[in-house]
Amino acid sequence: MKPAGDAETQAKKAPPLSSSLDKPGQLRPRWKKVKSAGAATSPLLGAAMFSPAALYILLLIAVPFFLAIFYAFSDARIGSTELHFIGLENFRSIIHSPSFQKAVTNSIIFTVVAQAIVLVCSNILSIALEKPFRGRGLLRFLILLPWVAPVSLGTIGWKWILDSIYSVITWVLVWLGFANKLDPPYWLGQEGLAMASVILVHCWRLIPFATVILLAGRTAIPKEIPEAASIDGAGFWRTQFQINLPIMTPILSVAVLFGSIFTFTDIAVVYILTNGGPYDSTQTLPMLAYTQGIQGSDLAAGAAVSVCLIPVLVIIAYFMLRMAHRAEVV
Amino acid sequence: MKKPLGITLLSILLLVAAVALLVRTLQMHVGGFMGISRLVVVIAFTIMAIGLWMLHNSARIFLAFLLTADILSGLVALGVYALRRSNYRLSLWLIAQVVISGVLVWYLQRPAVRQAFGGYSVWPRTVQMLVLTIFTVLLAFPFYWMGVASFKQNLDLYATENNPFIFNLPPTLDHLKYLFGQTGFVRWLENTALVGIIVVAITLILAVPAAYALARLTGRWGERLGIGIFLTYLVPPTLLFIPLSRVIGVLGLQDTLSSLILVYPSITVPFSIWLLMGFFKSIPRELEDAAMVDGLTRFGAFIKMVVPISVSGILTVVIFTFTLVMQEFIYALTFISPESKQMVGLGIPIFLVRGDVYYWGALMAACLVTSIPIAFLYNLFLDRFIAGFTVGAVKG
Repeated sequence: MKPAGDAETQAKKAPPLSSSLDKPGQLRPRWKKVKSAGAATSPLLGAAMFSPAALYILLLIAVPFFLAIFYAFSDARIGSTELHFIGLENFRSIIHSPSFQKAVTNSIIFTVVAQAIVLVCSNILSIALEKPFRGRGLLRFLILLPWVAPVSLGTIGWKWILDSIYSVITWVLVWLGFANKLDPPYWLGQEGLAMASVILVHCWRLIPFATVILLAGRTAIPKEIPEAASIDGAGFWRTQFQINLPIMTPILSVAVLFGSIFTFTDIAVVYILTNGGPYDSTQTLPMLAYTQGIQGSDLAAGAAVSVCLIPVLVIIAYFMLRMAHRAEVV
Repeated sequence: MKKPLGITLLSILLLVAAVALLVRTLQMHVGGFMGISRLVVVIAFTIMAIGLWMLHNSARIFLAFLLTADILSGLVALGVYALRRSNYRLSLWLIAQVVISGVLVWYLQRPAVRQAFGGYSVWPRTVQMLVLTIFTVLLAFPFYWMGVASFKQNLDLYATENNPFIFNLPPTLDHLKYLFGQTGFVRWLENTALVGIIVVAITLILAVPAAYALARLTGRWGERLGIGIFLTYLVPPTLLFIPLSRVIGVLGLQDTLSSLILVYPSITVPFSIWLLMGFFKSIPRELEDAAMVDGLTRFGAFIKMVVPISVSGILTVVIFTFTLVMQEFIYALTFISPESKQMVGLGIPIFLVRGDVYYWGALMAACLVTSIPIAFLYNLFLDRFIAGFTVGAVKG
């Protein structure tokens, strides 16, 4: 590696090897000198160590990213190598399809509703988990399970819970006299219920994630602030809403932004639970991109649908950047 | 400290109840699940009685928690069941129960009692316990449900009259035997392990030097590049899978595990660089300086000094990469169709379903067997993952 040589010359510039005979008192100034040498940057070695990863990211994220945009304006299909630029044709045709309109509204509804529920629940849960107590580790493990277990497997567990015949929820409702056994609710087969089910699974999966993030934020609040507030006579609710909540705004937005990305771009939950049905009622953008692009062999249409994710991602990235910037300044 | 009379009475009452329940259980030869749960109740009552007797605050809080839970469930049962069905005997019984529990909670909160137990209010911790119980039950329920389904006989599993929460017939290992013997499950696990190990290796080779370079060598630019890297983590696979499917086709990697090995690092590398960057920044510079004084090159200092003390950061990346490989769905779905080449995350939900028939027992067993170990690993390194997600919004 060539740049390593560059570092070598730097090391040589440093004072000669320290011998064990040196007295501690003499070491001082030498250390100081070396520190300035070590603190200096070495851009060449840096570039050499960074470039493999950068190249990989460029080839497998940046190139496909622009390829997706390019496909959206072309007539690419699976099985043919020909490509023609056809302008806005793909977008014109998908905008008029009812599936697409449904997918856009659903993607937004699922994301917003799920985030709202997650925000409330994870706040409550993180307050309850804040102070250490016996058995907290075990509880945290149980609470985290939905987030840590592979998405597809957690979802298939829910598919069994929401089964049309053997659903445990239906069983309980029938037992309580809320549902008729001969005409049970079809959790995944009726439009409103199917949408609610998808949102439920997203919430179930994201509450643990948001909780641990908020927990990290809560432990970082300096203890003196709530203490001082309680001395000044602020009660529990006042402390939570007027002191802790404002301090935690950045961390709350981290949880919400990541949660939005996870919900908005997810395909596994919808694919396994409902496959977009019944009658497109749970159709989402990623799901539609998959059905049109891969199953329907129309890569261009699929790409056009998935490119519609970009505006929302840009907005989220913008807020993330602002936050990273603010964290740097502080 | 004088013990209030009511507390003495309460602990005696609890003890009597425990003994009575024990005697009744032994008399009636209640076995199996019911027997065990009754024994648990007996033990809990006994411990609570002793705790109250010795004026332990935890015993008082636990009692308050049970009573509050009883009041809440009593009210719910009254509203949604007993009154709706005009079952007045049950309603009266529930009302009596709620009133008694309410009086007891009120008593536990009396100033005299409070003082005897050290002056703590009962409410904060009772509410905390209630919230935790409710959420834990809701969040962990699907996994309990997987456990129940994996050991139930099919006759029991598919009988809608049976109480689904308990084993009406003796548990069985049939589903596990079927899963490991007659499906591709073991093969999928092997595939996942293979892909996981190679992807981990690639991720480490790419991310560790890159993170070090960004943390130490590139100065002001490192910060900006780091944030740029972080942003690429936000580009989702659901945006890239369509063009990548064609790339994979052109490279002739369709239906091979190599396609996944090629693509997965694109999810793991950005986040790993970000995680490790934070980690390297926390290592004091003097360490490398000392090594360089001793004649090592900068790169040598990185390999011999920085990497060894970063083991925990690197392990975090390993676990993170492995979980992501198991979690990933869309690439495996798009690139690979034959059953023998599947990963667990996809093989279970797609290929354990034959035609339209779901083998629920085996399915649930597979989910449980796969999820629990990875959950254990993830928990060990949780704090570091969180540090990666919080983008510096939390200090320390």
